[in-house]
Amino acid sequence: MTDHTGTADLPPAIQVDDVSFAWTPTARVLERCSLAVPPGEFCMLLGDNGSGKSTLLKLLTGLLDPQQGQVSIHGTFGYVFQNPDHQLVMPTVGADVAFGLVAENLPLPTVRSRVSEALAAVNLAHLARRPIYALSGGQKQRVAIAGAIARHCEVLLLDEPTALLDPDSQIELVKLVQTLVKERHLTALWVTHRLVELDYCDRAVLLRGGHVVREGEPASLRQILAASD
Amino acid sequence: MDLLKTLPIGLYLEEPVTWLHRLDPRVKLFWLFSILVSPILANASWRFFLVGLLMALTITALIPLRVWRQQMGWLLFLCTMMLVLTALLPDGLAIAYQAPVPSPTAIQSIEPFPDQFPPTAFAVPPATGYQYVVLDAWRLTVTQRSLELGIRLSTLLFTLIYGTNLFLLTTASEEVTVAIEVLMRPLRSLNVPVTEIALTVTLALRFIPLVLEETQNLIRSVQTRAINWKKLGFRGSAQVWLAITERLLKNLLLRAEQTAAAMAVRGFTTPDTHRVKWSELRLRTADFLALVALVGFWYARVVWGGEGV
Ligand SMILES: Nc1ncnc2c1ncn2[C@@H]1O[C@H](COP(=O)(O)OP(=O)(O)OP(=O)(O)O)[C@@H](O)[C@H]1O
Ligand SMILES: [Mg+2]
Repeated sequence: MTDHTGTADLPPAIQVDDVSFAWTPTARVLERCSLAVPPGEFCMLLGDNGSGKSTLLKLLTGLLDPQQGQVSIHGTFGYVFQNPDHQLVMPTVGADVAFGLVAENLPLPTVRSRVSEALAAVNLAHLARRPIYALSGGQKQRVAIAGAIARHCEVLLLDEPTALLDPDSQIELVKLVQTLVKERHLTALWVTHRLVELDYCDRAVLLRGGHVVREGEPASLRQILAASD
Repeated sequence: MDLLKTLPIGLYLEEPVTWLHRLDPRVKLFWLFSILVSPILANASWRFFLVGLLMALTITALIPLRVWRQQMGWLLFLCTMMLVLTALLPDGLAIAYQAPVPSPTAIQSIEPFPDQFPPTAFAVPPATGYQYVVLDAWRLTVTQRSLELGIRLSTLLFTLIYGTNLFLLTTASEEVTVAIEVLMRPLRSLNVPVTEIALTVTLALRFIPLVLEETQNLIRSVQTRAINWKKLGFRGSAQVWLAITERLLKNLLLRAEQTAAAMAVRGFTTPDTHRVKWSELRLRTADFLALVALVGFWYARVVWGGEGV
């Protein structure tokens, strides 16, 4: 954490300010929720099923508009959906990862090397030519992650990216994101239910009843969660 | 997913990479187009040549047996059925067939023999072996015309389906659309939104498996509910199927919405500028050879393959 002290005065990379949101008029999912993630931090977001984690991420990406309050992301962001089936839009793996690179207007060789690099990072280099429908659930999830990291964006929003992965790949992926955050000085917000992943993040946040009820060192949050179970 | 895996045509073969995979998709598109168009007004030998050509391509590309056994199996069955049925069914000429020249025995029975015909009047040129009725056994009649029609239909069916299939087998979906886009590029000057069309087609190609998957899921959900169709009667069953169709449409619309959302957050630019760069389009030596061969193909078609040649 010491290497982040210098960035404390910078504006947060991810900011949620007093946000309320309801899908239906009667049931509020988020209630005056506030959260700030400083640049260069790997932050994990915890919470029970239906506590509004995915909703919060959708608000951050702009897919939803808050009914009250404000959200902001500093810089470009990549987003990994909770269900990878919802986000793979091209017919084959390589083309799908390349989908997000259009805006950067890179020459083809750069695109191809970026894509291979991202696929190699999630151990899928050998499947670049495979059609999406012929992938397993975990492989789809990796393609989705590759699509986000290929874009070289400054902020990563990951909604349960390890939900469909086996334990080894799960740890591998957390380590990968940890390294990316360190090396490229990214900011990552990672939603999870798996407590083992907490060891790799800088800070963890617990969402309950529509707002952040706890935040702090992963170890302390882990103790609290373990005690409440 | 079973529906997809058993779907015998239109699937991309990812492994092994054959020489057909390595050809430039534009060249392959030209070849496909030629193979689809050249049977028009062609003679039977040309049609058989096309069938042989497609077989030869499959074999020289070393496409694994497991892939084409499955596809070839039902396609050959279909085409053979087509040939047999069309050949056997009445050929549409409502004529009672008869030999072209009165046979000597038939002439003898004419009494009295007309004087005005000298015996040489029936000295026709020697018969050529041509017979309009090719086979006439029991009540089955195969005529020149029905045979010709059968050959036409069955080879055309084979060439159309198998040609397209071989193309899709060795060309990834986005390569297909990139090739179409590049070839349609001249239309841009006519304000045709070429990139948008190509992108739409690509997205649709990703969507087809999703449709199949959704359908499969719904069918499964019906199967597991053990519905007593007999008890439901016709009206009841129709209602169930209507409900399922409605559900399917709803799910598909939801999927489309999710895809749109995903595109938005994944850095979609605008429809007419979002050109996903991924496939390499480069003409190599093999592509030039294939183009030269295509010229030869059309030369042969014009010189030997035409009807009435
Ligand atoms: N499209 C929607 N329409 C209506 N309500 C929704 C919609 N999406 C989510 N909700 C509701 O909003 C609440 C929060 O959902 P959300 O998906 O944000 O939870 P989550 O914290 O991500 O849960 P999980 O851990 O299961 O992923 C839930 O009660 C859910 O039923
Ligand atoms: Mg969620």
